[in-house]
Amino acid sequence: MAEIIIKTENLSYVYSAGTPYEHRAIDNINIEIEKGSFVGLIGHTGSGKSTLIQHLNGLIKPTSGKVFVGGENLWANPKDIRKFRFKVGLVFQYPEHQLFEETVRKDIAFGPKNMGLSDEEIEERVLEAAKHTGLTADYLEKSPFELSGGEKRRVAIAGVLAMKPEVLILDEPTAGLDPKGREFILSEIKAYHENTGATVILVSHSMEDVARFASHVLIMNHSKAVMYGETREIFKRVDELCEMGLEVPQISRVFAKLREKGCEVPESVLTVAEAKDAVLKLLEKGGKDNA
Amino acid sequence: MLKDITFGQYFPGDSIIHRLDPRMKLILIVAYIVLLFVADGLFSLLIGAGMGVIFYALSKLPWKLVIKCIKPIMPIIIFTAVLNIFFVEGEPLFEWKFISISEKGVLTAVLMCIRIICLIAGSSLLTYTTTPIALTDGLERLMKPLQKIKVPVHELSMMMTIALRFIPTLIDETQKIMAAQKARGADMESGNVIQKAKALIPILIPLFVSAFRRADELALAMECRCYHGGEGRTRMKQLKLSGKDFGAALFVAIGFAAIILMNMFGPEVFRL
Repeated sequence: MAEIIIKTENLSYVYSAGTPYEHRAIDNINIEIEKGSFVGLIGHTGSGKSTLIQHLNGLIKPTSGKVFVGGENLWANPKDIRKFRFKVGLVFQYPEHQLFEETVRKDIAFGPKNMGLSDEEIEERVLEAAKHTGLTADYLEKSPFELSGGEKRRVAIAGVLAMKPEVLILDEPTAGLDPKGREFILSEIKAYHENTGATVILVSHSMEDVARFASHVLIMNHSKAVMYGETREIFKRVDELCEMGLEVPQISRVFAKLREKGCEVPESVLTVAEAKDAVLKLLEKGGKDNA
Repeated sequence: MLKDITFGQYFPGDSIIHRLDPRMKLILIVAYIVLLFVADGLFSLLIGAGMGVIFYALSKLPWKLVIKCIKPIMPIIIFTAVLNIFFVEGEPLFEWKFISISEKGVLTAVLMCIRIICLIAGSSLLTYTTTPIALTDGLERLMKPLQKIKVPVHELSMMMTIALRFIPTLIDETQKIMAAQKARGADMESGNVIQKAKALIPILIPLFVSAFRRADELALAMECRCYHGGEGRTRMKQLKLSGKDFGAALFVAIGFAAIILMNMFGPEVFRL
């Protein structure tokens, strides 16, 4: 079995405890994430996804329960919490709103600078992160405020990548982007995952994206982690997911219906390419039967 | 940290105090503050304090809210009390070297403490039970006569409404930005004053940028809905005085009368 990089034990968090606004955002979460996996985190708005991911790098202190990163308890020594922030890079929703420096170069360097690296190391990391996010050299001297929305977002993501986190968490990194921008960001995340072997957790509302990229899926509903497993296994459970009001990838839905109708197609079909193969195979077989 | 600011925080409920007309509440709170200063003895001030207690009981708010709003001004209360005890001159109760404490000093200190507590608790009750929007609405109506002398009452109250409306939004935004910068390793807790001030830059700049962006968007949205200032503008929620408002006014008036009577005919002990 592969090494476990992130583990939570009975993790719970209550907002505004003791006031009329009290709200249990996450409730008794127990998950184990293997090193090097690509996890898609799915759930409705308000299901506790954002609260959960902020626990994983120690931005929120749990009301009860524990978080382990690489086997170390996050809150064993609260003074050391910053080192986990560099280990677990978190890209928030609409990260372009956090840009503040005069130039793109300085903004990307903010994280590495906080790590206390040498100037050469910082420069190297900035260039590398810029390359990862498709920002050419002439961008580096521009002010982040004169860029377009999609470019700003790339700068913000580069700012986190420059810390070279072992675990990269992204909260809906493609929200509000056009299809081209979405595709670009997703493929650069995929590339980072493959090139560095980092663990990635992607919060997304798009089942298609999760089906295409994720090796594992974590489903949250009403503050609880209800399912965790390999993507293929999870998307087999079409009925349960629909009951929660969540979707499955369109193509999986089509094939689930086909199976209901008695067609002999495989149980889990996630992408259009897989669907094509399955249909061709079926036609071939059907052709032989008829002959 | 930021969300602990409670002064001026609305506490939802459906009590009779919550449902009073905001204009009446504003007038009554002013009357209440005047009344606290009219009272010149312990007994008359206790009537005032009693009125405050009755108002709180009627509002059905948890009692710990009183403590919560008084906590931040505790230093001021203690400071006032200490000053009064040591520096008001009169017949000495107690003397030791250069320190002398007079009966009058102790009495002044006690009265001042009760006054300040009632004052803060009373005005907090107003903000606990009235939404900020209702409050500015009430203020606008009360200040309307000032329009005759060219005071831009509507514009002022619109600005206030917008400012109040955006306080929670901006607090939210600040927390998000702080979280984002902390996620990039920003260190806001350690270091000396200069380092701490520098650590604020990554938070303040994005905050200002987003505040300006929001202001732009809001102005555009208001123009799209044909907002053109206060002239000829009607309201969705018409304020109307009802029986309970007059009841509350009567109650305060009776309290006022009782305090004046107590000042005039009450016992001559514990007086200033």
